[in-house]
Amino acid sequence: MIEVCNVSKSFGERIALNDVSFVVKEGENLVLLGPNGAGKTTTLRLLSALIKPNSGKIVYDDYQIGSIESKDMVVRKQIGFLSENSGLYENLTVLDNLLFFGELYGLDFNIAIAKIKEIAEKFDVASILNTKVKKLSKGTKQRVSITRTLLHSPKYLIMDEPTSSLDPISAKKVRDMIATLKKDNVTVIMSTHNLVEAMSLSSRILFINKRILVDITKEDLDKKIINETNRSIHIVHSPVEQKIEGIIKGDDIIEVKGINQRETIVKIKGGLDKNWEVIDALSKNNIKVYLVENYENDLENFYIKIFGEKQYGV
Amino acid sequence: MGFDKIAIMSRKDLKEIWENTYMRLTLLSFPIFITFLATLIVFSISIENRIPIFMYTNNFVYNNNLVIVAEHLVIPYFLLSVSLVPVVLATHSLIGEKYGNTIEVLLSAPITDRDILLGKIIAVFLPVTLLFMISFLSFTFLVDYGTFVMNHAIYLPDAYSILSICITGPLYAFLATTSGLIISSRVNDIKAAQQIGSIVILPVLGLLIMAQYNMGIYPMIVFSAILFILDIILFEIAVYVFKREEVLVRWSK
Repeated sequence: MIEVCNVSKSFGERIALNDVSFVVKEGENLVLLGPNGAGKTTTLRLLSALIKPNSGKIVYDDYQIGSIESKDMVVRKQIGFLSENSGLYENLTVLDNLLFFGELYGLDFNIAIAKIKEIAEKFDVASILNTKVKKLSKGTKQRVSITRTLLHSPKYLIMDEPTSSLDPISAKKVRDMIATLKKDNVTVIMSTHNLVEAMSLSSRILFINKRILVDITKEDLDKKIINETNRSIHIVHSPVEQKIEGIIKGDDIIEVKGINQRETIVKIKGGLDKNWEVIDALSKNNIKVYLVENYENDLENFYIKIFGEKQYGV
Repeated sequence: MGFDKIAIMSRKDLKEIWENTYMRLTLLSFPIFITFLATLIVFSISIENRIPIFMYTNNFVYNNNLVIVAEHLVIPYFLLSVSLVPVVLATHSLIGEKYGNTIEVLLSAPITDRDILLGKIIAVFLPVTLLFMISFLSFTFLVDYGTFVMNHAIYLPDAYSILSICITGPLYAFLATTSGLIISSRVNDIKAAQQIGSIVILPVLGLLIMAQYNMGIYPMIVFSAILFILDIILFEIAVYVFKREEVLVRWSK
């Protein structure tokens, strides 16, 4: 378990994090979401013992990092860190890179070789072990990087935007790799700008901007989105004069827009139960509903609501 | 201190140096050039029977073999190569981690600052010193071959050159490497670091001048002792100024 208690971090006069506290339980997949400069990378660097907080503490299983160098090394051995860039030595082969990091994390040469073979097979990089890193595509490099972080069987995996700058297919491959880690009960802490990725990989999401704005489990976020997302109901009605407003409560309607004489789109407020009531009422009045869709992007909308629209110029 | 971690770090850096054409060329070209230059100087002095005019001032030339005199004259050139090459390689080794975007991952690994630095120093120090010695051996062989053919005599090496090559040279290589690392941990531009690093050759230039007056074996012992103390002090300074957080934050793109 990792406990982050009242951590603040500044670089000169620039405040990167202000009084941040949260707990990461074992096996959890925590995703940090936030705009550029929100302090996501700083948080991950603090968790990786790369930098020290100005105030507050970070505790790994009852040990406060930064207290004793030798114990910091023990904590570091339990962490697999993936930076935004691949972090691989371009002039060396994939095998040289993996061997270097495997041994650095305390694996004996023979064990490291065996482990490399095993994980390389699992993540489909076995065929490129003798290829120089500089000859690989960005996506492949990132897959090799994830392989590197897993060599020493870390308890915690910390990843800074693992799919940024990757094409959709490579990003999906990397996401699939990360998803497989759930089975191994690895605690994953990652940052991303990709909202779909956050939803697909997380068990909990921290919306962060210098401080924690929202700390929510994926389950609760799903419920929130289902209940708060406004929807469009596309209906076919007869006769033409039929008043929609008479059937649906005025409070629930955002906008009624006729497409032609028989078809209308009604934008109604979120809340799935409420939406069903509306659909039911329409059916009882012989008005056919032929399409129900979210008229606003659910998670994106939630994200903008949290971080404010001004900074995005919306 | 983890000797295994130092060895792992050195091995990786050695591979990187060897796989990089620019660094490989830097490493190999200097010793080869110095070997031939030094041989040429020794033969031209010996064959023409002329030495720099100021060498007559201390009556030195009347008591010594001309080949030995010429050899003492060229030893600073070897020391020059052993001080220049490490600066280039050491600055590239550390700042190269930044340009290759590997510094963050390296610093997150369970290895201490001392082990990282010592690993990097050894990766530069070992090949430079080894090539420096091979270079001097080649020079000795060429000169001895020449003098044997001409005079049926072998003059090299003498105590002065053995001391210079086996003790002073490696100490100088360590000093230059550590200086290169100190500078590159404070500067984040390879060219700037190499330019500042070239300051370490100044004492060698002093040696070049002193060699004209034939610095004897005792001044060389004193010089080596000073280098040894400087090596220890500079290494501790290197560890002190290498701050992970500063390196990471200052070097962030």
